[in-house]
Amino acid sequence: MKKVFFVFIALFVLCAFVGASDVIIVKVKVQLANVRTEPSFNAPVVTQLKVGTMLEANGKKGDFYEIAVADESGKISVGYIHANTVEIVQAEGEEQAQAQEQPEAVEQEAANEEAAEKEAVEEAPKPEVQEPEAEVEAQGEFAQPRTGIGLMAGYALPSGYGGGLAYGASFSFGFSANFGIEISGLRFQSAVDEPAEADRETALSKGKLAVMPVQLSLVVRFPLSPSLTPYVLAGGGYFLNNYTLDSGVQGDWEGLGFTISEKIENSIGFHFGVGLDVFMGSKLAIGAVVKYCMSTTKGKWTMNETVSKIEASGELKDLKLKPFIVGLGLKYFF
Amino acid sequence: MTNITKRNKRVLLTVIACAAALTAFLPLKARVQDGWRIADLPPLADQSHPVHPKLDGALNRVYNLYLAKGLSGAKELVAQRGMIDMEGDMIRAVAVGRTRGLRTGDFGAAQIKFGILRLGGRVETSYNELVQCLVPINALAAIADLPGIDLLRLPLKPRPLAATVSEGVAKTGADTWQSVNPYKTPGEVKVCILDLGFNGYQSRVSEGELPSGVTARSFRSDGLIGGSGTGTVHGTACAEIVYDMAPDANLYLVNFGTEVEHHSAVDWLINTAKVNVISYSVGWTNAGDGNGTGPINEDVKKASQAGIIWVSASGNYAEDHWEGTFRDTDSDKWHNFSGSDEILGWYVPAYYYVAAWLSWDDFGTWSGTDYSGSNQNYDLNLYIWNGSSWAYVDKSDYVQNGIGNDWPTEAVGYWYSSSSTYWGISIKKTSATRNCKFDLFTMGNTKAIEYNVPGGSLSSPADSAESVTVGAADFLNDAYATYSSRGPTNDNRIKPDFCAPTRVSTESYGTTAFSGTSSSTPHVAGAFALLKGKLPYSFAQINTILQGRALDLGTAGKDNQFGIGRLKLTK
Repeated sequence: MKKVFFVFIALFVLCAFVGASDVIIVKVKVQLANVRTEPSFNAPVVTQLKVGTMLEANGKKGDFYEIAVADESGKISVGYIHANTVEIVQAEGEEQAQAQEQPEAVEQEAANEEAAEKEAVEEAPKPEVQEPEAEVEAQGEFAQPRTGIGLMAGYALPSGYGGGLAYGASFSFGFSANFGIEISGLRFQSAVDEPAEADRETALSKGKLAVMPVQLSLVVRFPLSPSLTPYVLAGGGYFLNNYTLDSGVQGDWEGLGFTISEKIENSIGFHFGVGLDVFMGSKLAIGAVVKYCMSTTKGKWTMNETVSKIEASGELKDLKLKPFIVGLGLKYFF
Repeated sequence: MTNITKRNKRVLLTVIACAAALTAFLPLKARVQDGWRIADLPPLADQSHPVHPKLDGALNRVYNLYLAKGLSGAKELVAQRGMIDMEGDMIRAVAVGRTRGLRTGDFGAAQIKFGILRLGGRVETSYNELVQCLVPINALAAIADLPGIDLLRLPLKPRPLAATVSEGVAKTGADTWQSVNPYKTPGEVKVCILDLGFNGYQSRVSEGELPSGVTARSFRSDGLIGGSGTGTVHGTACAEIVYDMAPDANLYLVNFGTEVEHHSAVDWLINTAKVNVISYSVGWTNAGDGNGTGPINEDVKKASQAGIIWVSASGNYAEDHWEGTFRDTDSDKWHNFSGSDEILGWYVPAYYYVAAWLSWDDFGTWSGTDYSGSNQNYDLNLYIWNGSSWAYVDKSDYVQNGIGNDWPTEAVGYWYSSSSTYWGISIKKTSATRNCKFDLFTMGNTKAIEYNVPGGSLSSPADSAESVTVGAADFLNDAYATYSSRGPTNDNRIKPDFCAPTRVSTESYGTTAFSGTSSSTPHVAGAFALLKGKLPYSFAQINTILQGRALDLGTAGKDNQFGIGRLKLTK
């Protein structure tokens, strides 16, 4: 009944605008298409139209077609339907010919079916509009802006140092279907081997390096289907760095009467990478990402001879933190 | 039974008779008596001879003998006096140019060299105003008379500071350092063993006793890396110890034979090899006034200014040294060592070389290249005990008259005897206005000399303020080695700085222990190289670290026997 009602409305609207100079006739091509109050994904949904519904659009605002909709009381108002959910039956400029060919036919058809449609509308159960949103959402709008949070775990392969477990969390905000930003916090730990002889004076000694980059990324997404969205990202961040000397090395020197320490500074860094979100439903996705980070830090070493109390110190220079981070994670989009 | 008793008695009486006879003859073997006055001795045969003002005492005597007895007479004396090097009819000497600071290649130096060649001599090498040459005996005076030459003298010659035998491995805790990775330092350290000879070093390399990458370079005029004559393993043994202490060090084995070659070698080490540490188990007597100045100490100073740590042996002369102020209680111009005794004696085994070096406190001011010179003229005489009296052997009577840069030094040697006996010296005040203070060093004695004064027995450059000077302590029990030269320096600084193990093992000396301050020195040089290769500290800081860790021995604190203490690398 409801379907009949909406078909009627659609035809009514179609007829009402036949002959207008700039109408576009479109047909719903997805199972259910949302009609919103404003040309934005953030606007409230006023109704939904089923696949095959013919509509006459009054123009286009952004990615949305402006259409006329009637609510259950018959009140007609302006609504907006996303361009991806419809296909154009008659583009702008074709309408005059069509209108000249079939004005009466359309009008007659509408008139003939009006009663039956009314009947149908009356009989129609309060339909899918009332059904749970999860079923309704998504299928037609996978290319919408995405805002969500994620958890990631993986492996960091810093150039020059040993690899280690990496883990972190992220928050992403979509400006549009294609653009967004992501704020992420990662942590990984690397084993630092004894430096080469030529670098020994300014490089880190054997120990453990823990790095926590807090990064802001610009994300460009390429939604391919409701379930696959690859993306690229790039940005900058602040690296919270911590280094711990190997206990064996410290022990050796303490045995000889020396204390040693090495400290490194936090640093600014840059990164870029690629990723892929595989959706399992409309809000949950498994994400894979490969990210290359670049940062350079410095620090200071100190050695103290404990018998004669003689101190030597120097700079740790040009410490390059260049991890490749490969991760898998879960993302939840609101 | 009775016969047996009688026979036993006869045997016993025979034994007693033989023992008595032996005892009676024993005094015939050298037993020196004290209290000898020179006036009691027969007059010296050649007390007066012409003195050439530009020949030193030894060359002057050779030339006079040549004039008196011909070439064969002069060569006979030279052959007896091992102190003089001869090649054919020529004597190795040093011509001291008139212009101090003359550089090799300057016109003046070329003039001197040309003059030597023209008179039949041969120039071997030169360094600034010093020209090392071989001079025909018959041309000694002519070459000394060349314009531009101030003095023709014997070269100063170094003495290896090993005891007769030596060997060594240290227990200083160096092994605990060797396995530790270097901290904040590239770790490359170049150590030079600057010595007299490196016999057998190639064999030590093939055996792994020395690293394969050693650099060997001779600055001797004859180019012999083994040293003079058949050579010596002394330097090789020292290098072994450095390698034992600092296995990662790059070793340079560099030898020389004279002061002139020494100067060239040190210049090369500073400017070309650019070494970091010099291990120097060599000492010089009569090469300075004992207050840290002199030509050898000048080389140490140059090296130190170039950032090199120079580690010197203190010397093995504590029992070979006497010092005292001239005292003539009987007004006969001969020094009285004690009471009426005017001869200082020492016992020398058969065929041991005998020599004596005398210097006194009238060197004057050190300019950086030479002393201003002395006008206090003393002479040194050498005697041998013939069983009942002292017999005159030789003298050194270089004239210190204040003209030129006369050094206040005399030397006699090398003599030897086919039987063990006593040798002695006397000091004559020939022409002096004050009673000078003397340092006497002897050679040939196996025990302390008469009137021995161990203090102040440092050789040069052990007295250098820039040198880290090393004395000897037994590796087993840290006992002070009685021969190890002691401070203070003549300007009253405490030396040595450290003492280090001696009587240790080396492949070069085989089953014979490597003893002497020669063996102690490379332990300290090796310790500097080891720590420099491991630590991000300067040599000055490492010196402080080593001083702080040294095991204090003897008198509490730094003293003139053990220095700050025995080398110890652990905390």
